[in-house]
Amino acid sequence: MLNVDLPTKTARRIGLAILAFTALVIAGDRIGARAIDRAVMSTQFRYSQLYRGDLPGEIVALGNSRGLHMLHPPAIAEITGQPTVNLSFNALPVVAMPALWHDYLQRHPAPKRLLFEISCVSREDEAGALERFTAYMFQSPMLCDTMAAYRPEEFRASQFSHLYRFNGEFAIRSLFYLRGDDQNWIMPNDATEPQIDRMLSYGAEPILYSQPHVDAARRVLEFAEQEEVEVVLFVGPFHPRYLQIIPELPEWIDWLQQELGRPIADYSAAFSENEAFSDHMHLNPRGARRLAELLHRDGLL
Amino acid sequence: MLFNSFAFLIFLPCFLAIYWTLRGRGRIAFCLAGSYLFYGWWDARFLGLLILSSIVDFTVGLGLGKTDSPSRRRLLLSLSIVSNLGILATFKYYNFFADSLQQLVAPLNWSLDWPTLNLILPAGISFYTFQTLSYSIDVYRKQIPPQRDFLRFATFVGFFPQLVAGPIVRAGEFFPQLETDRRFAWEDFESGFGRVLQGFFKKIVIADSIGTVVDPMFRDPEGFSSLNTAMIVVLYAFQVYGDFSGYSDIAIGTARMLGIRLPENFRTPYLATSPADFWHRWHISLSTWLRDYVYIPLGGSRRGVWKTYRNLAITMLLGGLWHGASWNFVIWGAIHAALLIAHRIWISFLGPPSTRLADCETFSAAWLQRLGIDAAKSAMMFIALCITWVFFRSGSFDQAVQILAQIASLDGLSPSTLQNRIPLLKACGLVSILAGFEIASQFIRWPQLFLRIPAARAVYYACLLWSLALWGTFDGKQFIYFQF
Repeated sequence: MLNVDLPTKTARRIGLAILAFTALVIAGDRIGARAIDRAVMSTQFRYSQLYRGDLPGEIVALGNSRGLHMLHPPAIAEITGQPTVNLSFNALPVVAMPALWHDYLQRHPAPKRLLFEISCVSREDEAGALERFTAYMFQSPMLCDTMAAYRPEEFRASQFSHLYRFNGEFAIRSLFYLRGDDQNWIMPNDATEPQIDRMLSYGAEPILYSQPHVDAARRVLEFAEQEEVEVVLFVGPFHPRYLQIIPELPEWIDWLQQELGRPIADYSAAFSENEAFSDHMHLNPRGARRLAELLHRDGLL
Repeated sequence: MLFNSFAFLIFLPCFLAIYWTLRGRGRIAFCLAGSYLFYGWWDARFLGLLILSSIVDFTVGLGLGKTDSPSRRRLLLSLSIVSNLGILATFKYYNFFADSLQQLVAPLNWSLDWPTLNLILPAGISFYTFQTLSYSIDVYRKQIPPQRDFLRFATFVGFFPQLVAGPIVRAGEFFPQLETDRRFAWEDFESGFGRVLQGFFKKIVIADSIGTVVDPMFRDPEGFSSLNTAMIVVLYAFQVYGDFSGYSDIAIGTARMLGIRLPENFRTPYLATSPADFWHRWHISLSTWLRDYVYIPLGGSRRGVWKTYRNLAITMLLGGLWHGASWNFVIWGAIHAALLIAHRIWISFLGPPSTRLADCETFSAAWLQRLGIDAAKSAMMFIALCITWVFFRSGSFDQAVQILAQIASLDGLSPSTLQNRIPLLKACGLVSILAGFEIASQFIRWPQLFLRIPAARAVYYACLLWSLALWGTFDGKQFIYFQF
């Protein structure tokens, strides 16, 4: 028994107040989340467009930040004459890719070709990168399953509070693209020697031989096969100085080819000038255009 | 146990439910046990230190109560000071002073082969040491009677809401609140709950969100442009404020839910119009502690201009050192001392600020003029504070200078040079909300008006909860002041 000595009437009023407050919090959470969801889904951000079914393309690019800053849709479209869209994103975890690709195929006519920058399979998923997709959990059961499997705490929290789903980069970023399309996004600068020095001083990121990542890549390929989409697997260029500190890359590419049972085109050493790069592992618009020309010349585009 | 941990979310309701079922000494004993559980959750080994500190000062207090002999009283007070500061010096400052002395004598080719102690700094040691010291000094000065009940005394030292990071509570304020066998009061509970939510907002929404932008720059400032560095330094000022005032809000709110009122620790500090005004608004429990137990015993401002400056300098240098065993904190204190002294010199030349409104034709024009002057003063003060925070946060003196030089170089003023733009945008947006709220609260007494309406209170609390869900950063970051 609480040592409260409250009159029954007052205690009842307090109880009602607590109930009303709880109802207010839950109702506001649900209503607010729905309102933000509508706002997010109305923007020109790539994943909002994807889930609206407004991102049709003949060529679809997929990858993490390397795919994002390497496969520049305007350049590819100009060179090939085919509408191109890019589903890649900075630190996009490879385990999120099957859901995104599946959902893309569900909402759009099947494209002719999937351009998959496969070096993402070697990268450790960056903390927080998958959580950003809670913003699209209202749209995709497969994304929900992926979240529940790989980020159970965030999944539970976003079931408890729907507002929490929009606690992350994507909600803010999508509002940034309220009007403008983000498909032409690419880092514009040229790499400089001091910048490369600084990047190299952090050392190389470890190359992963990760079975869950390979399984995720396999699922992407399976979905493509089901819709008869041609898949091009390739490893994009690294800055030559960075390439020197990851000598195990060719061995890893061989391993992944065997795991996936498909050829992987190796363009890791395609460029050597700073003018093609924006940093040690991302291309700038000039480099992205040259890569598109190379892929086209080699019959991969 | 951290306030922003899952464990605390379980601990607090359980503690409250049992606390309010008990009465008398049972409640106090439970409060002490809960406090020790809260503290021991972090590292049970340091409970011994907390208990030792309580025993020493309790015994000293009893001794002081039994004797009027000045020499015995001085001896007992010395015992308290030496034991408290001895423990603090060993755990917090030994390595710092040993290294500093070694560096000092190195040019003379002397070598002091003092061993380095690999000691973990016990959480909250600076806070509870100052709290127990103030008790002994107050009893020595006969300002309060000695506490004769060890249970109550230990609860005063270990009271969990303010144990680890303040506010520093005076015995004279705390014991009378323990004396009454108070009953549950819904008003206290509700306002405490609101205060706790406000604290979580400041900590998890404001400070921790800013932390994700601030930390990379202070780890490696080289890659940031002038504009980016300046923005991050400003944001850090709000991070440290959100973090510490957030902690204080949670502490004050939790105590209020237990029916105990703790002193306020912050009062819109960045709206201060002078260095002296800032210290009336920032970490008030520490600044008043330093005033009452260092500055005034040194002579305060009663023994001439130069001694006043000296006393200010000593007080602020000690205040800086209290924050941590690093020369950066000493420099931080020194800059604050310089600001306070410069302000005093300025006042002595221009006279005290006039209380008369400027000579304007209408009252509103005069009011606007005063507002403009105050805004300019606050802006200047804020810039000065940001400079001090660079020393407070930087890993070394060199790094602090590098950051300030980077800002002054004006190299890279274009918004295109900004890194981590989305978190930066979020941080700036949140800071604008906080700053807007605090500035508005200076002119509109909205808590008194708006929050008097129960429905408005409910909406306000709900808004805090929604913003926690929508903007909170849940990576379990510690409170900055825990390390002090």
